[in-house]
Amino acid sequence: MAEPAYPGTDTYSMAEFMAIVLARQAGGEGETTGGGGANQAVALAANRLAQITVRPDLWLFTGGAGVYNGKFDTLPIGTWDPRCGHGAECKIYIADVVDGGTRGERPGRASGRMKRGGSGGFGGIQVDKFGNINMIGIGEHPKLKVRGPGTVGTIWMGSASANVYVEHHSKRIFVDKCDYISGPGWLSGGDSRHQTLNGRDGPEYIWSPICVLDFTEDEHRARIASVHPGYTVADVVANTGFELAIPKDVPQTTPPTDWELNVLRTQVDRNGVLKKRRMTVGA
Amino acid sequence: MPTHKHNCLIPLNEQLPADPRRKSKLIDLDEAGRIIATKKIFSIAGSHSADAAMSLIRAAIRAGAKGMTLIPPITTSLAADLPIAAGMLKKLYLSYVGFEVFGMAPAFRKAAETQSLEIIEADEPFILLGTQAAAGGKPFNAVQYIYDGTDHKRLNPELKQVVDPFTGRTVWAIPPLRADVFIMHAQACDEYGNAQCWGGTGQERDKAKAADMVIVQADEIVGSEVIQKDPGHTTVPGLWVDYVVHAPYGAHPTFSSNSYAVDEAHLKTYIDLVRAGKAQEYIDKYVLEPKDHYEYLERIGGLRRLTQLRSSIAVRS
Repeated sequence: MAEPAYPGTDTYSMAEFMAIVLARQAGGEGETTGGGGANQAVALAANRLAQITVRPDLWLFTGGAGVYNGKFDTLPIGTWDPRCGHGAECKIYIADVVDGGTRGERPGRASGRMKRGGSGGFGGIQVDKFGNINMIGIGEHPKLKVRGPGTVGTIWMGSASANVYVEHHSKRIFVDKCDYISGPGWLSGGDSRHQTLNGRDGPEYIWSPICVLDFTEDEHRARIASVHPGYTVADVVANTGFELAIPKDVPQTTPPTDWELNVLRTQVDRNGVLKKRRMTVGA
Repeated sequence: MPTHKHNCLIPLNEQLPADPRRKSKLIDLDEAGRIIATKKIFSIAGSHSADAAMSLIRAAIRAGAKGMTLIPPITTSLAADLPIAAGMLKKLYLSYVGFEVFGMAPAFRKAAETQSLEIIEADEPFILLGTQAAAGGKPFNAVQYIYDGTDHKRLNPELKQVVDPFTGRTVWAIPPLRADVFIMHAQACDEYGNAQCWGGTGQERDKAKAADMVIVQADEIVGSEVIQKDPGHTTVPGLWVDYVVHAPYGAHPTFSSNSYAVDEAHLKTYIDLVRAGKAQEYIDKYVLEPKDHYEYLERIGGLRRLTQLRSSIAVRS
């Protein structure tokens, strides 16, 4: 049975912690774009938190709502919620996003086109050891056992080095090989991605409710980068359906500071959405 | 000078100086439903659970629409799931159909898993670039390597490879996605069809150009002087529009940008009923039985509920 992910303390919820972890790791230099999927309240909060705290030059992209840099302080339902538009700076046209995606990110010029270096990322009903994701389904297409919701813009993982983010950590989601690839990670590892996708780099991280994974340098295989409070390396291994690369010393993901929690709760999520957000471990 | 008559709650001739020499495109909701039901391919805009032309969709179901093909926006929820539940669709170009935080789309999932619906495994670039190809009358739209990294290439039979005559490279071709009718929700529209959308992702213009007919449902029918105050906010010019329907709160239960919030409780009711195999119960109560749009609004909670939805666009509790 899947159980709620619990950080071992009632001081903060795992979803609040995840938002803080993602905000800290909002990567890139200079101007980057931070986005997230439709149902990623955590990524939405993380991007807003990153803007307020460590990444003032992050452009908060809420595609479904069609705006850049909303200034909400209560958390909308998702990136599609028109309330993301309060205090926004620009209304987008989705064709601009598609142009950015089909053109491919241009290194050194991150003018908000397709540079999704910020926090947040793409999720899936399956994620495999090379960081590929599947939003299509499980089983023999078209007679799928499990029909995914469709692939939206997950293909942009191929033209931008977007990360992977999931709210449930189980063997059902973390599989050795995705039944279908809708968002390309490192494909079949090694240099397969660079060969197939015009030299584009793959994802840097997979964020889950119990750990952060990164990728080995040559094989581009998922590796445990840190384990969240309340969990151990053994928990991660037990709930992952593929063989993980495990370094000799695996650090604990740094717990939130009072300042981070305070900013999150008073300037981003005043309505406490993340306190109630359910994330799970196990099948 | 003859007086212009309208089928609106507040007669327009009391609000604005309509020019009786100019063609008014206002029709009533049921007539619009009947027109949609005569078509084969329809397209819709909006984004996730926001700005969906729900009144027109309900009217089309009431008018007995069957066997239709839907070209959805890049993301949608009830606007695809309700037509599927009502047996209105034969074919769907899929990009994303789901209820986001509220869960999977129940009718879509069931139809997919029982294979009672033809699903084209499309996605964001396929829908958008296919629509743009149709909008411009182009034979197709081409993109570079992006589909090399995904399984769309073997699952979507409408995605083809062609040789770029300029470089000799093999590239991916997306076919034009033309629609017989495009139905859209606007926050405001005048009787000539000048439609203003106050949010969203801007797919309306491409969709309007890619369709043979355009029908707008609007929360508010405004006078020309309102449109003229800010023509920069006119999303679709009336020239492209064939019919206009006055449907206050017509996007319900989805969001209407900057106007009223998504009715989360109503969406949950829908999802629970369909999951429990009681889709027909929902369709009877909210689609077939209400004698007009105002009775629908009474059934979903009337002025009390609508006032709550209006006030919750600012801060969510």
